[in-house]
Amino acid sequence: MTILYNGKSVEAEDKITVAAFLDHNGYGKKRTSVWLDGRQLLTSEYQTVELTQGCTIKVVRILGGG
Amino acid sequence: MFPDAKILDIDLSKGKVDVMTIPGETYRLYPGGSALGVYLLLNKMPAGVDPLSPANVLAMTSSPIAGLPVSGGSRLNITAKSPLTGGVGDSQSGGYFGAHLKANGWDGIAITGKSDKPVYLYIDGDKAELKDASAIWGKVTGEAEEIIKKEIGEDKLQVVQIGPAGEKMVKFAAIINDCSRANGRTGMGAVMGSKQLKAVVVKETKSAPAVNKDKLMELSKRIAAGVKENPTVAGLQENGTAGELGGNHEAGFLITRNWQTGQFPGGWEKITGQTMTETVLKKNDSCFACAVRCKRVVEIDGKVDPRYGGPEYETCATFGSYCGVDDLEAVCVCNQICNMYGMDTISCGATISFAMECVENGLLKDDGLGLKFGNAEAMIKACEMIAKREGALGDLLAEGSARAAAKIGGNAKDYSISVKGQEIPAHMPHFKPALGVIYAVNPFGADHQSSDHDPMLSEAPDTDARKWYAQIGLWKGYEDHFEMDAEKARFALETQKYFSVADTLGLCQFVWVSGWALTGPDDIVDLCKYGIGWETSIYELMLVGERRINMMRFFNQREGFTKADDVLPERIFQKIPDGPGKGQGLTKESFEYVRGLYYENAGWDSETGNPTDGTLSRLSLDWLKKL
Repeated sequence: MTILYNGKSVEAEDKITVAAFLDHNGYGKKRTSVWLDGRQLLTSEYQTVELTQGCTIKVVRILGGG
Repeated sequence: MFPDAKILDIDLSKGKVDVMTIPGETYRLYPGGSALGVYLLLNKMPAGVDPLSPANVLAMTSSPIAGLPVSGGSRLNITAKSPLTGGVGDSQSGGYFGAHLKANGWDGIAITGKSDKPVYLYIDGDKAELKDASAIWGKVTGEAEEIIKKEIGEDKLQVVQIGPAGEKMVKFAAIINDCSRANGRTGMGAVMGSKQLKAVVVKETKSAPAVNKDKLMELSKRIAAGVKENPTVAGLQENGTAGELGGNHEAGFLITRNWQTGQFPGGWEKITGQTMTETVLKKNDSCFACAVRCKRVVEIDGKVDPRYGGPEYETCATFGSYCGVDDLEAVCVCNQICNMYGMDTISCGATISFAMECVENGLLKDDGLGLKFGNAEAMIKACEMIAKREGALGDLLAEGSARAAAKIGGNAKDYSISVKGQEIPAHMPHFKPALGVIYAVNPFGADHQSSDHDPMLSEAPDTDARKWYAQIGLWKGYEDHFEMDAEKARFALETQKYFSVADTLGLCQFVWVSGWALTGPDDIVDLCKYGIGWETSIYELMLVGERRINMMRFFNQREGFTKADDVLPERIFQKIPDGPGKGQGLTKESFEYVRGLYYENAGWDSETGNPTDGTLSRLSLDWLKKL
C-alpha cells in the first residue's frame, strides 16, 4: 500500500503496525512522536494501531538536551 | 528539623581556617549547590569586586542529600563572581568529590583572600589544613594528583584542582576533579588560580546512612532498573552523551563551522559517540553510586591517556563540527589537553572556531598556524597555546571569544557566538527556540542545562515527560515544537526553576529532572524524605529553585546587568542556509515576545529585566534589599 510518510509517498506493508513501521524505518528504540492522519498517537497505541492505504504518518525524532 | 549547614570558612590571605554554621531554618531556603553558593557570595562579597581579586568568594558546595546511595545525587557545585561574564559564575560536575565532602561533614567551603604562596586545602573529617603547593604549582592535573597522594600517603582521596590554565587565569579555566570531570563553565578555575589555591583534597569516607534505608533503597533500585528501559538513558550508557550527535546532524541542527550551518556532511559520522565506542573507548566510568555510567574513558596509544577520561557531546561538537574537524582522535587530544590544563571544553572549542572564522576572513593573523576550519593539527596547537597563554595568539584567545573580538575589532564581534561573554553550547535555538530565551536570560550566560529543551514538548501525552511536566503546571504539547507562544514562556521559566532544584540539591539531570530522564517531581520529594527526613513538597522545591535564580539575578543587578545583557548574537537570528534545517530560524520578534512574557511570569521588571521588590519578598529575599 502507499502512504504519505513525513511528506513523501512511500510503499508500506499492508496492515503494518506503527511499531513495526518505526522499526522498519530505523527508529528502533529511539525516542519518537507519531501523528497519524493529524492525531498524535499515544505510545501505548504503537503496537496495535495499523497503517492503512493512503494514510498520512508523521514521525518526529525527539532530541533532548544534555 | 532541617539540618544545619556546616561550612569551612577559609581566608587565604590570613591563612585562617574557620567553621561557619548556617541554621537549618535558613539552610532550608538555600539547601545546597549554587543556591547555597550564591547565598555565601551575597553575604560575604560587596558589589563591584574584581573577579580575580582576593575579595572574590569561591564557594564549593555539596547539599544536604549528597552521599546518599542513589544515582545522580551528589554533584559538586562551584560558584564565584565570573571573570568570563563579570556576573555570577556557576558550574556543576559529576564524580565523587561532592559525596565525600558531605561525608566528611561539610556542606560547603567558602574561600576568600589570596595566599602569598601556592597552597592546597586538605580535609580529613573535622580537620582542615592549608598545605604548601609549591611542588605542584605548574603541574598538569594528573601529575599534581599523584604528588598529592604520595605526599599525604593516602590513595583514597578526592582531588579537585586547577591546572596550569587556571594558574595563568585563562578566562574559561575549569576546576577539574578525578582528572577527567570539570566544573567547566564561567571560569571558576581562573578564580581559584587568582587565589593561588591549587587544589582542595578530601579523604574518602563513608556517608551517613539514609533515615529510611529501606524506602531509599527501593527508590534507588527502581531508578537503576529504569536505565535499560529508557531509550535515551540506555543510549547514554551505550554511547555516552555524544550518542545523539548524529541525530542533531540528521535533523539539520548540528552546529558546524562556528554556527554557519547545522549539518556536517561527511564529518559527523567520524565524531559520534557510536564511533567512539567502536574505536577508542576503553571503558565506561561512573559518578558516585550511579547506575547510568555514561562517562567515557578513551585511550589512544601514545596520544591519549585514559586517566583524562573522554569527550562528552559538547566536546565532540565544539572541537569537532564547530571547528569543521572530522577527526575523533584530535577531539580526544583536545579533551585531554583541557582536562590536563584545566579548561572548559565548550568555551575553548568555540573560541577556536571563532578564531578560525576570524582568520578565514582576514581579521586575525595566526602566524602560519593554519587556523582554518577543518585543520585538526592547528586546532590542537591552538588549544595548547591557550592553555599556556603562549604567544600573542594564545594569550588573546585565553580571554574568550567576546573579549578577543573586542580586541580584534572590525566585525569580529559577529563571530563570537556568546551571551554575557560566555560561548553558547551545542544546541541551536533555531531548533530549540525556548532554550534560546533561557540562553539570553540565564544569569551566568548561555547554558544548555538550565532548562528543558523544546522537542520534549512533542512527546506523546502518555509519556513520563508529559506527566512530569503536567505536575509542574505545563499542560501543552506541540506538534510543531518550533512554535513560540505564551506557553513556551511558561515552559522556559518553569523548567528553569525545576532544573534549578537539581543544581541546588546536586542532582544530575540525566537521572532526575529532564523530561527524558528516569524520575519525576514526586521522586525528588521522596528522595528528600527518605534520605534526610525532609518532609518537603514540589511546591517548596520549586520555590527553592526560583529563589536561586533570583539571587543570581540580583547578584548581576548589583554588578550593573540589565535587560540589555539578555540578548542573543545576530547569527542566531539568521536562518539555517542548507540541509534538513534549511530556512529554520528564531525570529527576533518571537524571541522578544517570549522573553517579555518570561519577565512578566518571573516577576521581573519589563524595562530592566531585574527582580521586582515584590518578587524578592515573595521568595523570602527581602534581606537582599538591604545589601
